[in-house]
Amino acid sequence: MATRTQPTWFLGYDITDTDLNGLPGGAIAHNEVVASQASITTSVALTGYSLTITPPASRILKISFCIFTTIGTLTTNDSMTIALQKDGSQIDAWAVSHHVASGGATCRGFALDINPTNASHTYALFGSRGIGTATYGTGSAFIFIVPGFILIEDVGPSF
Amino acid sequence: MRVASAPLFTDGQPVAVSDLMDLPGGLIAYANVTTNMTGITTIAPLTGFSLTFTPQPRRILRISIRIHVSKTAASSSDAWVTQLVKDGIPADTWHTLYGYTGVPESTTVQTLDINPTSVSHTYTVQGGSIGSTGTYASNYAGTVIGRFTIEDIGPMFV
Repeated sequence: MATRTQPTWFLGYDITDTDLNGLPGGAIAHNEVVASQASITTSVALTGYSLTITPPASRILKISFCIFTTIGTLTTNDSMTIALQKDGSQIDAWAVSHHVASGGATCRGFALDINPTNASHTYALFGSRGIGTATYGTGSAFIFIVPGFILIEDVGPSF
Repeated sequence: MRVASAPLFTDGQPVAVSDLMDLPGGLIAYANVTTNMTGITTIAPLTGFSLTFTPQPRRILRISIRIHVSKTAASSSDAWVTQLVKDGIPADTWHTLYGYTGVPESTTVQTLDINPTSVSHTYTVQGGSIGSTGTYASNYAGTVIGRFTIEDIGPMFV
């Protein structure tokens, strides 16, 4: 467990750069994805779910996403893996199962990157078959619109 | 419905303490969980999902939970329940249906705590089976970890 004591301000207090740096920076990168992707079996980059940023030093980043995933023929005990890579290395992963043939399942998740270096970093989502033999996809499989997104927020100083 | 006007600053405007307090405070507590549990049946505390802190007065907190759980013993009409507990009292509940036995699935949920008192609070997460006799286990390994975060997302408004 890690906790941070928030500053206590009072009337007449002289605001400093430290106070401002103690606040979150908010959304710093995002992308909405409307393209569909098919034939996902082995690990493949999910089109549109990639962001490259240079964060300030000593910060915490929150990476959030939402993807509508699809399956072709249902297989027993299927599972699709959504992996988050940072600069080519996996830093987190999620699993989503489908219970209806040719159906869809929403996968949403978030991760933290504590104190990334003040250099260019690329965060990207990859999709793959986890358990089973099914073939997967992303995006709209039906008549309604299901855009996905990836979002990076500066949620404050590292602690 | 509650709607607030976000502050907009103008060039040359002196920044006051009240301006800062109108802004979100950001992440104030988090836990990364790697300890696995097995044999979870009835609702019980999930190891590692506990945060204790004292929020500033008149704030709104966003609490996010990510777990990675599988059903290890089949049971019909069964559901996994994720429950947020604040100071020993259940505060929010989510249900997840697990269709396959032995297949981990990720569940991500969020809730708000609006205007908590500015005293020490302990937030925990518990989980288990409801509606039948299923048995569950958490499946953290490698980079797949549980997460429990609390963010100050701004001042309370009415």
